[in-house]
Amino acid sequence: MPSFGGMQQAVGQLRPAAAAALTVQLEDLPVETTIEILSHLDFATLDKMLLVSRRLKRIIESHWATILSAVVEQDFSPAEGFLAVLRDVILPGSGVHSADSGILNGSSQLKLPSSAGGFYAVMNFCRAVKRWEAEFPSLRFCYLPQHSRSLEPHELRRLRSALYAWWRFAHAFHGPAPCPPGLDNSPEGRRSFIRQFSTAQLHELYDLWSTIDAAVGTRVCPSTSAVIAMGNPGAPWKMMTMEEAARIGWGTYAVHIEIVQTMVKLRPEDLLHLLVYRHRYATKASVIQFVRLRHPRIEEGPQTLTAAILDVVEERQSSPFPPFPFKLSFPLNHGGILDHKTPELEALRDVYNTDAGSGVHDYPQWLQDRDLSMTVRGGRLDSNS
Amino acid sequence: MAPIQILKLQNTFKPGGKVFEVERAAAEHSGLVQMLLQDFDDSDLEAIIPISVDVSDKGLAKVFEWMTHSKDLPKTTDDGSVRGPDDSAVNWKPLTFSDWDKKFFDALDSEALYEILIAANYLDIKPLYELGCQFVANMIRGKTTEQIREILNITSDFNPEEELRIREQKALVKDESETAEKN
Repeated sequence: MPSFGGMQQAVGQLRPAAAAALTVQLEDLPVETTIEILSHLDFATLDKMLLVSRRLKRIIESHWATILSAVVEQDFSPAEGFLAVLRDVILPGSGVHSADSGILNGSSQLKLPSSAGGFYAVMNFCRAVKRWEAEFPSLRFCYLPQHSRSLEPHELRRLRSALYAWWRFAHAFHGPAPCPPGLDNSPEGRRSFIRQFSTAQLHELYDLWSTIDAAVGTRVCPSTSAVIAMGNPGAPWKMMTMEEAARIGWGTYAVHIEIVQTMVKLRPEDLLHLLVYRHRYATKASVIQFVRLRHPRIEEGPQTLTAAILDVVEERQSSPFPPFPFKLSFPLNHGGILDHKTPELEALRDVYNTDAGSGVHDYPQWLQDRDLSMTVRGGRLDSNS
Repeated sequence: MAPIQILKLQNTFKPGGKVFEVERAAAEHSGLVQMLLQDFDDSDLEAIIPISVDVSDKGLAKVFEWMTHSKDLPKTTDDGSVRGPDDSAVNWKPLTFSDWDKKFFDALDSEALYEILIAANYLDIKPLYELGCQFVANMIRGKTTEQIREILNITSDFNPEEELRIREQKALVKDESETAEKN
């Protein structure tokens, strides 16, 4: 039994008794001071402030752009990635941008639009990012329980960076919204989108994407064979019949893979919903119904992110750098979003973080064949169809 | 004549305010004082400089205590740049609490903390204002909504339905399983 006494003591030391008795007459302070105080909060506490009083809620709603700018720097770095999602996905066309000097000198000059309508969309996005942060370790270490741990702040930053990239890719190429103007939902169009990221970033994104793929394949739609292997938890002595397993499971081998590859096209917030609330959906049919509701055209084809990442990493093998030394294969208990095993390997991250935007030239023929094989396979949700 | 090194400041918000003698280098943390220094000759500064802010002399004494202790720290000027003791530009750095600052803030009572925020805002003492706001933020960080209300002396004016609606609005991943099951 862990010693809770010790923990309480530690918490007690962090919060001296004197601080508990101290109060501030916030309602009497000028609005600008309240805004300044709110800007120093972390996101979770700021979110709670919406429930404290009407006046506070109103202040946050009318000044959210100022308040969140400071919070983003602190809780949602890299701010460029965060803003890119706001610009492309959450508030398209509303002129989100970052002032040149702001991010660099830390004086938080993010330019967020101040319309009240955007506020709840941005808050929901922030909440989803924080929930992904909370859920990710259990998904990432699912097959490595002995290595299970929480993520370090710099690893969380990598996770967020990967989440932002996925959010944008999914919005542009996985639907349900049509591909935005200026982008082209073809293999080359997707590669050119992916080329904006460095190889190190792609490695992190691939880690996230593999983790999601595995989580959906086990938690949301386990294969029929996995269902048989799990047995009947209610009556372990009773063998599960093939029919029963097929009723619960989501197909075997190729069929199961196709279903998972279709399911992961859901928007990040919807996938999060399924991962968190899967237990509330009693039947496969109810899951499928939810998925079709959220993404009516999801069955038109499988996900395209894996191919785009692999292609771009592959085509960069002939770049000025030595070939990328890390295997794109997860789960490993190190690398990707997590730290590498040694400082030497960790230093390579910097080397491979400088090639963003490169790799357009020598696209090998055999890779184009892979595109073809990826596109012919259809999307699928139902193992019986 | 040597430049005036001690300034006399008096809060005239209420009659009978104490006259504070503050070192010029300390007083220059205040944007308001900087402006006065620019506009007046040294001969004018021998007189008492009136300020008018709704805080007690006790609160003001605390503000001047912080300013005097921090007189050698870089000053934020009117144009937003930060200046060192020899008036050279200094790179902006995020403010952190020094050990002395921590002791200073921890020793405050609620009224003094409130008055420091009001006075630092009025006198435009950017570092003290920011530290004060940061200190309040640290007080409520990680607390429950109910605890936050206690610390900020706020009584909830939401009715239960409103509170529920906001909570639902905040529900990060909406629970749509019920609608899906019903259909």
